[in-house]
Amino acid sequence: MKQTVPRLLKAYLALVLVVMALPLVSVMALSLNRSSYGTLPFSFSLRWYEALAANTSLVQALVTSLNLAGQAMLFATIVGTLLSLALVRSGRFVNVPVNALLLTLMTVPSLVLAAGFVIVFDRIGLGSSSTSLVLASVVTSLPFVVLIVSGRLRTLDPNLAQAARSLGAGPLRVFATVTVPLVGPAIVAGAVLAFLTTFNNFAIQLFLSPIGISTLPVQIYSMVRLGVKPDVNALATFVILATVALVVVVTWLSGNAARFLSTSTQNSEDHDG
Amino acid sequence: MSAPTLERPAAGGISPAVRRVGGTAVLLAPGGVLLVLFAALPVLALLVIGFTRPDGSVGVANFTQVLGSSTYVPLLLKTLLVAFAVTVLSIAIAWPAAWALARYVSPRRRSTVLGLVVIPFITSQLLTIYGFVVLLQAGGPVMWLVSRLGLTSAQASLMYTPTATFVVLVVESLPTAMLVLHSASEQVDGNLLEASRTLGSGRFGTFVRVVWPVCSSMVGVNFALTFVQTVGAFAEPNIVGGPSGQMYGSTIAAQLQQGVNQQFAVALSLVMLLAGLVVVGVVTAALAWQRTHLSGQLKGARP
Repeated sequence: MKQTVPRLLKAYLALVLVVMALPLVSVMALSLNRSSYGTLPFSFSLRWYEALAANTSLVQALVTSLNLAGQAMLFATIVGTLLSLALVRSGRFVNVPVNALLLTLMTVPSLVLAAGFVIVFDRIGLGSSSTSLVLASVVTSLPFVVLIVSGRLRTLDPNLAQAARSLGAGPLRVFATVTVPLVGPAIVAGAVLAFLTTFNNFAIQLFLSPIGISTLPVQIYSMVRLGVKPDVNALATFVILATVALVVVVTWLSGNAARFLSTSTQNSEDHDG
Repeated sequence: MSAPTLERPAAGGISPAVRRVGGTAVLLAPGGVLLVLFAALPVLALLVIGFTRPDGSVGVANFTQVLGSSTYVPLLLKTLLVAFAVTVLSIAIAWPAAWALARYVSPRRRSTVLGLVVIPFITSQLLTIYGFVVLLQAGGPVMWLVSRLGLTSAQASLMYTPTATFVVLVVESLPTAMLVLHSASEQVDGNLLEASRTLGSGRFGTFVRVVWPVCSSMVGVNFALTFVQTVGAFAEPNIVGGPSGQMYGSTIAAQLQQGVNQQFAVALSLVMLLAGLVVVGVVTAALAWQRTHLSGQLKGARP
């Protein structure tokens, strides 16, 4: 009797996991189906993978997205790490406005944010260009890097840097040999999150993509409104498998993907799991 | 900006305090410039542009047009209602599962299960929506199964209905709720649950007096996160909603894409933002109020 409730709850948990996975699993399963409309009954075929190889616009869109996410990740990680270092060293007059701006970026719906970006980029003459797209992506992924890296920096033991300094290390040496190794995992987590945020940021890409250039979400958006296209299934399968691989690698490296990617530091600290 | 000169070795004569400030300024500069130009400026631009008209005149005409409209106001109210229902339902669905994950799944298995939550969490929203199109379309897996059971014909479909939008929005909100409520559930002290049970509380009493006071602030965070994003949803209604499933965000997106009356699109966005913040503010305030007034005697129970 005592064991029934936990068992029921665990079965329920499994059900919720299945519901969350269902759309992605069905995309992967139907990428191997012969039907041109993604409809059942199922008969095995690899024809959509052949179609994908011939569909340059989809592959091009994936390349564009990876390229954009890579650039945004690089800049957001560097700028975000520097900003985090500045935040732990400076007082309220810097911290309050910077944090307010970061919080705004994270909480305002991306549609509203996109409207703001469109206006500003139009007025400064960049319009819808690759530059605007990269700049907007860097800015929108910056809060995640700062949140993770500065959270980690705040919990660092200041005595370690103090010790290195009193033993004669200069500020750069302290940074390279003490701070970076301790904060490194947080910087990597921030970079991963910046990449993912940019890769997935559909609203901003829809409104800022230059004419003729589509990122993957924008390309899928324009294709799916004309009905199911099974070659999208094939491409989506690769993207989903890459996501799974990322989560497996992260879990393997850090023990727990959820905590690794979590932006709140109180979860990653003082937990005995 | 004179800050970089302070980093030169020649700056040895300058006092350490000044050097420290200079160093911080150098670290701050790139992020600060980016944030001012592309976070502060867009927000300011929104606030300013919303009060202008295409002909250059300034005033609240855009807002009176939005608020006086028999199209936008009902659509906004409907959208707020949908977002509220989606958010509450996603929390209600996710919490028992998150509770099971935090308390009944062995620590060794927990990271695997969390991985299964993280995968949909970080998958592109468009792929999830596309997955639902595949899943729900006429002849797709769900309709195929339903028709096999003899309930409807395989050609009937949930697609292009408000229900489809609702289902997609709820399922999309589940991973966030699972992650937030998992960490909330973890914070509940097992000893308190045990104590509450030993002292004769039923499950309901334990939930109200032990679990809820510890978790309610995280529930508030979850509400804010999901609600704000759901109010601004436009891809879901545009793709799976059909003509009657449109939401307020679809209107903003359409106006923005036409680019004809940017000022009006901005006014629409600001009204949405403000309405969303009011709902989040009210819910957060209500949660805070009940924490201090209804469970005051349990303050000591909080970690």
